[in-house]
Amino acid sequence: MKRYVIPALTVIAAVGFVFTLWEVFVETPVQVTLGDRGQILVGQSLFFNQKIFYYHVANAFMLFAAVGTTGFCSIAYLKTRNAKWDDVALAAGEIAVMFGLVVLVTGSIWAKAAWDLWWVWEKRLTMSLLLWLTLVGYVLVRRFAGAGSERLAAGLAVFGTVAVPFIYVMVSQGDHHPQAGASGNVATLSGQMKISFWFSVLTFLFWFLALIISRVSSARAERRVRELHERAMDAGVL
Amino acid sequence: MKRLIVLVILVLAPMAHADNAARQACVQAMNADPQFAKDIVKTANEQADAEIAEKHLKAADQIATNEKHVILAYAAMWLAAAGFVIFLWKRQQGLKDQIARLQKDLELALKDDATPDTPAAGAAKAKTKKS
Repeated sequence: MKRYVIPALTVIAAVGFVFTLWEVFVETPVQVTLGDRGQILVGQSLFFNQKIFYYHVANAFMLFAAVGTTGFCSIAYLKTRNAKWDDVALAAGEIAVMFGLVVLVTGSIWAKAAWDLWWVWEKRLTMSLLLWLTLVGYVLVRRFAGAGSERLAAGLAVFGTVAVPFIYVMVSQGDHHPQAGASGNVATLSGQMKISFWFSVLTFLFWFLALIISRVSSARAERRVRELHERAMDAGVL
Repeated sequence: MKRLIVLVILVLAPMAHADNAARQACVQAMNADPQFAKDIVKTANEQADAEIAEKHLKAADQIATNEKHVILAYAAMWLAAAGFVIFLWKRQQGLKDQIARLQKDLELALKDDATPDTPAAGAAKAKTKKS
């Protein structure tokens, strides 16, 4: 059963990606559409570059999920010292770096298309960059800091996790970046846009799960090999 | 070469002078007739406005139908995902190699332990342990 989980999730994600492409580029309109709530025009002034939104924001959600997983598992590891939590934290941390890179790069390209700027030093963008750098620091510490680095890295991961709620709410009306929260762009999506967006999020969730399960099993195998090697050395077999 | 330069100067000088003379005549006419000056400014502004409006329309059209950046963003996303999958795959391969190496070392060590302790076997055992 367990051996089929990763291929099954990957296949579901792959089918989802194809379907999302169809939904986003063929079914979803970019022109002005009348919103469900009164006379609010939703999607006004949306241009073709808005298509980046369906992947950029979905990746950002996965980034938050990965960072949350890293933070939660790091706290659990610090409390219980159970290596299983540490393996999940490491896996989620590496995946968060990947999703973070996608969010920053696609966001920057979208900014160039929409605002004619590659980067703006706004609160949310700057905090997102800092979060990504913290995650890169986490992975580097795990890889190069040697024995005992797990606890140090776990502390770093908890620090990074704290940044997530700030990033989500840290947008003021005067900022370039689209709004978040109850009156934000995601919450006010309507019709086909809403369907396409949440389908994209679901697809990326399957992709995220496939990656994390795969990476956790790899991290566990690495730990097992390391332990066996140490035991063999101690016993004088090797 | 020098002759050519002199020739060019001789041809261009009267033309520049003529241009200057026309400009002076125009300035004088504008100073003399305020209505004429107004008409000139109005025509110039209309031309400039039309040019600016055209530029804005072109820019708006470009933003509205900009496919280049959408393609770039998608390519970047897939590139990062592919890079991460390759990284995972390579790490998995490394792990497999490590397990195979460990198994080989273990078998060798067990075989060494099973052989009688002749001086040659002892030396080989020491060599294996050292490596």
